Amino acid sequence: MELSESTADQEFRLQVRQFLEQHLPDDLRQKVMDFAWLDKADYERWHNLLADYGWQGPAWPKEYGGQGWSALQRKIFDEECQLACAPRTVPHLNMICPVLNAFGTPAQKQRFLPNMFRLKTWWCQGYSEPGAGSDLAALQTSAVREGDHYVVNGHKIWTTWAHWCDWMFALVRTNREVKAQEGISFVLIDMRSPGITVRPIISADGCHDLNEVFLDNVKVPLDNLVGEENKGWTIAKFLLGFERAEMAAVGLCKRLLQFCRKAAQTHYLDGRPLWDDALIRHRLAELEMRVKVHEWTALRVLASEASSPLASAAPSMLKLASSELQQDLTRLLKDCTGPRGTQYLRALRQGEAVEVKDLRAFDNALVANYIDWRKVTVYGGTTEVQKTITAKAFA
Amino acid sequence: MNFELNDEQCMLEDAVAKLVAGKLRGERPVFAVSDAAWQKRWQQLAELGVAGLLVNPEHGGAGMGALDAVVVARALGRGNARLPFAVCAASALWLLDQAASPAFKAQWLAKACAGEVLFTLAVDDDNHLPQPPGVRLEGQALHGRKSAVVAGGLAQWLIVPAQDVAGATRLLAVPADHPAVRIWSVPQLDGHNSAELQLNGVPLADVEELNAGANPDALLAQALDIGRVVLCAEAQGLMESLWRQALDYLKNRQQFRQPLIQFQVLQHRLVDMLTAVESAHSATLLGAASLLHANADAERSQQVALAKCRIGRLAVQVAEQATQCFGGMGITDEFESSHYTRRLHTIDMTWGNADEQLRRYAAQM
Repeated sequence: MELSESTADQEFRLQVRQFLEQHLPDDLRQKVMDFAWLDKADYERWHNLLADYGWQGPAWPKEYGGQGWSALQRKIFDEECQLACAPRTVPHLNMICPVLNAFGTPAQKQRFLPNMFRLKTWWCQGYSEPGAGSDLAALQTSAVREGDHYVVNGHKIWTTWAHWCDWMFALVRTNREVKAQEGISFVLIDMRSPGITVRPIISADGCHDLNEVFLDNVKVPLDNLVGEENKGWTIAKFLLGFERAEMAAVGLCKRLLQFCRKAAQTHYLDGRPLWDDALIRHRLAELEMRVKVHEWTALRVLASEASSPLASAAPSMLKLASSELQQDLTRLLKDCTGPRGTQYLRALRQGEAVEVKDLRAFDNALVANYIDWRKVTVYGGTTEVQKTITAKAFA
Repeated sequence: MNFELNDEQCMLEDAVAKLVAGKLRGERPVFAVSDAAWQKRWQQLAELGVAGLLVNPEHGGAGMGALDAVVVARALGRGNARLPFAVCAASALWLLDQAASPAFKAQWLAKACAGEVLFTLAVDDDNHLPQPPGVRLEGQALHGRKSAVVAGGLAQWLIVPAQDVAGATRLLAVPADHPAVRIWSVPQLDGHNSAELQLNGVPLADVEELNAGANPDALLAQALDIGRVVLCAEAQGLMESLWRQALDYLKNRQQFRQPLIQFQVLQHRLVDMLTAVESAHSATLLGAASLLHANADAERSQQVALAKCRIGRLAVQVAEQATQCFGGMGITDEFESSHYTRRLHTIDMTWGNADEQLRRYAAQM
């Protein structure tokens, strides 16, 4: 056993930290520090800063045009970025890029990959449907061959950033005669195609990230099929196992913890900081301990062989632990607010100047953010689905 | 970072596991194991060379480290050997090796490593009293009380911290058979031995004072933290086994004409328990890492508090959920799993339960 970070990894950490000190713009950092809602341009700016430094595709293997960092280096990179309050990199890229590399044709790779990292093209994920949530294989959006293209009809939902996107990678039904999982294909759909309607879904915090996408006789060239027809489910499953470590979101948990400290130190109860209040201090301490233990579980998974017994259930178990922790952390943030926790100005969260007596952007965001954070035990496989998957390893 | 055991540790783990599954297989009923039987079990463990695991080879020890002690304790936990390895081997003998005089070491340490003599640490005060009595060194004699002394009714020597008139801590090894020593031997919840200790003016001349250097409190704190991490490892082993026992039980027990494991609500309960078991593994390792790599005593102390707090919380969670899985069987003495749950609760309450560790951690934030 070697239970400390190697010198090389410590040096790498310093390099990332220096990069962030020198290149992360203050205004972007401030937005993340304030829990502000980030706009399309904010993400584009961050991706370009990373790419300019030569760090495109931090999470990708070298053969996919990424950095080829070890799992531990990726964890260090993410952690340092989170702690420095950098924006996250757009998660969809870490889904579509490995799929194209593993299953795409040379022409598809050449066409789509080069524009990906600098966000010259934006991608959304067309998986869920109103009738296919946890039971994703029940999806009904159909793709019927007609000459050199498919005709796609259906209704996708919870499509994050569809209104910003140029392309959608979607699961569609190409065969109704076979078992549900065996009739699904993975296709790339141009969001500017005739027949596509994007309808916004406004979240409970008043912000617009989610959408419904209606597909009405949308023509998709056969060239946009990824992998074989009716093998889409294999691709979807490949993706689920692709990022074991990222599921743990250790860096994010640490940033939320940092925010909890800040909230406890800047909110008062009867003239004394909540930081000095035994109840809040002990809740915070307990969370800090849980985050640390969660980090060590993630480190053990990173270091373990893919064939170890822990590995098959690891992504689900890490997601379970992480989502529960994130929700408990954001709950503490909510509970640090006083009576003014009931007030919420969406415009302030979205970066507009608003003048209200003694109102800080960070405080304004805490409760709305708590409500929004309830989504993490739902998206990417609900807690209940993750537990059922984990139980398959032993039951 | 690397979390794999080396070859030596694998062999050590195998040897302890074999002993635990064989000669140390649980005796029952839990409260009927005699003092003589406990002594024999300790000797059998010592024959493997693990009682002196952390002791220098020149005094009969194995000269190994904290991670090796974690490996041993985890294997003891997996089979619920219920032996005071953490307190009497890891902590007490490490402390003697650090601070006893050469003459005392020559006379006693090799015997302790061989399991012929048992040392323990008597550190806890009965702190639910309005004024914990503690032990004082006054007029060249020891007076006062210590409580919940692990294996206190079996040990030949008790290492006792005492306050002298100047308020300084002195560390003293007191012979249990001294006429001014009174010991009430009491079983622990898990069937092992505990004791209440009273010192009625034991002359300083009759005890061995340890040379604890400039800061005896720091040395004692380190000894206790080593023991706490080793307790964490034992608890981890217990939780691993208990989880497996619950799984087997649910696979075998039929109700509503099917094995209970078919019910999703019970599968999800087992997932919660498994997550806790994995967290216990992580908490133990981070505690062990702090013994090896902490930059300062304060950092080590806080990280060990973290580990033992989490272990306490997780142990109670796994014990309660397992008991629920076993139905009525879970609260019987006959059913072996209840020995595991009782041992887990005992470990949580030894040298500071989860709440106490939480206060200790939070005070350092």
